[in-house]
Amino acid sequence: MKTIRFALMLTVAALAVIGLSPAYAFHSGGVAECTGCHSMHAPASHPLLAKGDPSSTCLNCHEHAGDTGPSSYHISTAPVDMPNGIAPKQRTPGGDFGWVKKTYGYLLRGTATTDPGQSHGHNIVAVDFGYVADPDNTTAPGGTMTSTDLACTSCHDPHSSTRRLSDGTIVSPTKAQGTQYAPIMGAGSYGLVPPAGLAAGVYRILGGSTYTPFTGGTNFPGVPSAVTPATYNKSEAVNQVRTAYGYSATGGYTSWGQWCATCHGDMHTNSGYVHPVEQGLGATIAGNYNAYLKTGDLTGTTANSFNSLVPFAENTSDIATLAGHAQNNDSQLGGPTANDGVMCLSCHRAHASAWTFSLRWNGENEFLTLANTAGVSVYPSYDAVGNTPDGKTLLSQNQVFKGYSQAEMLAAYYDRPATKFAPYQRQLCNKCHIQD
Amino acid sequence: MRFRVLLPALGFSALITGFADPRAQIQVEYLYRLSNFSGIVPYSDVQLHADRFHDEVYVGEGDVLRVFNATGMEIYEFTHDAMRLGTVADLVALESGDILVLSYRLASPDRPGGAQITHYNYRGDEQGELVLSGLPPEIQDFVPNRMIFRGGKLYFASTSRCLVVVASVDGAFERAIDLLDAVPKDDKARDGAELGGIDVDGAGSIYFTIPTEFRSFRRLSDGSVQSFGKPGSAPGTFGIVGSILADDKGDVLVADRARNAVLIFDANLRFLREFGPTGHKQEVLNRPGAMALGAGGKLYVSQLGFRGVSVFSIASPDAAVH
Repeated sequence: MKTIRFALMLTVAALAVIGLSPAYAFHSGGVAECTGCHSMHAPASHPLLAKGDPSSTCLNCHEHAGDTGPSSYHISTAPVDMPNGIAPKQRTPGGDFGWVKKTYGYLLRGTATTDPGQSHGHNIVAVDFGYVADPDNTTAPGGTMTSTDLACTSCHDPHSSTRRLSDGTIVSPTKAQGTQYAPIMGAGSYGLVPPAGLAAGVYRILGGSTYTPFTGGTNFPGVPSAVTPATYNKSEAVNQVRTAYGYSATGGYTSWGQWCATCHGDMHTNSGYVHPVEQGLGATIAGNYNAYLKTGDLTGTTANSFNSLVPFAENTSDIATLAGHAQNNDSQLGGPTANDGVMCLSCHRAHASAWTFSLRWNGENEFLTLANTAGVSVYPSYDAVGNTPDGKTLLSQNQVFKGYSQAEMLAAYYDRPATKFAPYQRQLCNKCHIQD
Repeated sequence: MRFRVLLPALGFSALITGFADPRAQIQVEYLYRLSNFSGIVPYSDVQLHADRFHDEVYVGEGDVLRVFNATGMEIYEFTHDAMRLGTVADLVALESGDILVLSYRLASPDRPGGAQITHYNYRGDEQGELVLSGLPPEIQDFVPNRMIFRGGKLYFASTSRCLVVVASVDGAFERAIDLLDAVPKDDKARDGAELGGIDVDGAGSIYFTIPTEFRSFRRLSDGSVQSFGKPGSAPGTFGIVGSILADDKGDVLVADRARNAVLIFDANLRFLREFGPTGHKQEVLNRPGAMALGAGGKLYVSQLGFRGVSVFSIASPDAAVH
């Protein structure tokens, strides 16, 4: 019995260590093992890709049928795992691409309405996996990139040679003969600070200044900075996953807004009267963010106000600082200062979400939640039970749940129970603007 | 030379010749794809379980389970209540004909979320729940997504944690096995590693693949581990390793999701031959996913892109795969 107990203790100890392991194998911050993506003798597409197109080659590893929940580096849910009423299963900060396959039909104030899947995010073309070009937008909103060109490789550089040096600066080697540059020793997404003479990759091997998102396009102006926890794909039912986004426009960095604007130029502040990005929040907005916890609750402080549904860009690209804030255990819930900024990702998820325009919350109704007859915050859904305080059935409040099941409503908010919000929670624009 | 296992070809079939390797005596023959009275069922990336006792194969697709007979025709269908019980992650058939379905049950107001093992009789009538009991406190949050029934034991695996729990047939915890012990502590591939596939043979050896390692492993019942395979795109090498199966003799089949191949190794883990990347249109595989070994040497291979489930006959002079 003692032997069995000891063996069990060893097993448990080993599991504890594993649980702390960061996730950065295979890509290792740069170009990965060639044969993971290319097939020399039986390729499916040009250039010697193992699958029918670039995005299908990515999903060959990043989608896995049979997942029961958020799983490691998976960023897409297979259709067999999300039949009607069942939500996509991944909870990465970027979101699960499976949402773009989820189209809903419902009655909105008596009118048959469709919530098309393609409105939920970036419609990558991955034919092997059933992802097709956006049927509504022939080009990128605010830009000229053709929708049929959109692939994972539009944003992520699979052969990424852009690197972060030991002093924190970013370089994108031209790879010209006769040049020398520091080798990449590992992933750049989890806070690695390399020693002198070596480099880390860049966040999520995003395209850098030598990378073009599409044929005929311009190169990215640099790379944005961020650090995410090693275990980033997880439910936020209890603790939030905080990806610490940074900001710098020097040293090879660019802002998140300018980076996204490479394809969505007209969406950017520089091109018109749109929501500002790339500027400090200022004392008023930062103060609002820090005070606002939910509708009717302005008791937040600078120490506890962070909400991963409304992340912000810290006014630094210092990796150690960002790494200290990138936690998944609610140990770092500090809010912004006046110098921190709003960015595209403050409202949108990079891949996809449950909501139109890949928003982090339902932007098409004044309420995100309702209440039951006891006044407790609840998500309405087509399978919800009970009534609102004013006697309406929860299952008839289509304008809030847009045809979703209870499970899908939970998934849409990364498994947060409705009680994390106020009853009759208003739009999260109020996190910065407090109009409710 | 007499082949103990050589199934008659049904419908179109093609003999796939071996490579030049003199050990490549195994014959692989395409038989058909699983079908119903409307034609080939256009499955894409589904879960499989072959019931060798009754020569049937079960296919789990979201919230529907279908049963196909020995000739690959659908004979029965029933629904798994995914809204209440979660989507089908894996399934096994017991000797009695009863079926266990593994899924993940979402949290409800009166019950937390977690692994759900639903017991059905052969008609698909829900018989209740099999509870995985006695888990040590440290792994109470264990959420398996694979389930194997072998040697009277149930093996549950979490592919994302590379962890296996062995339980009795009534769900009582017996032991936990950390498969990452097979990878050196300082190997960078441990980080973020997950299982591409897992199987258990009659002797209790566990076979598994780790895609980011480009290798497959065999963990013997004494705890010793052997690895085999290496990265590459030539026959016998691994691109992205996925499902793995072991037959009663110890021969091993590994699905390669990048190379669209199924590789066959002998009991000494020597490469014998492969099939899938090339050949007649119907023989070519498209990202082989789940695999199952059925009665009479039938190999079922799930594929991507609505290619359905292809069925092959595998035979060797000494019935290597059976």
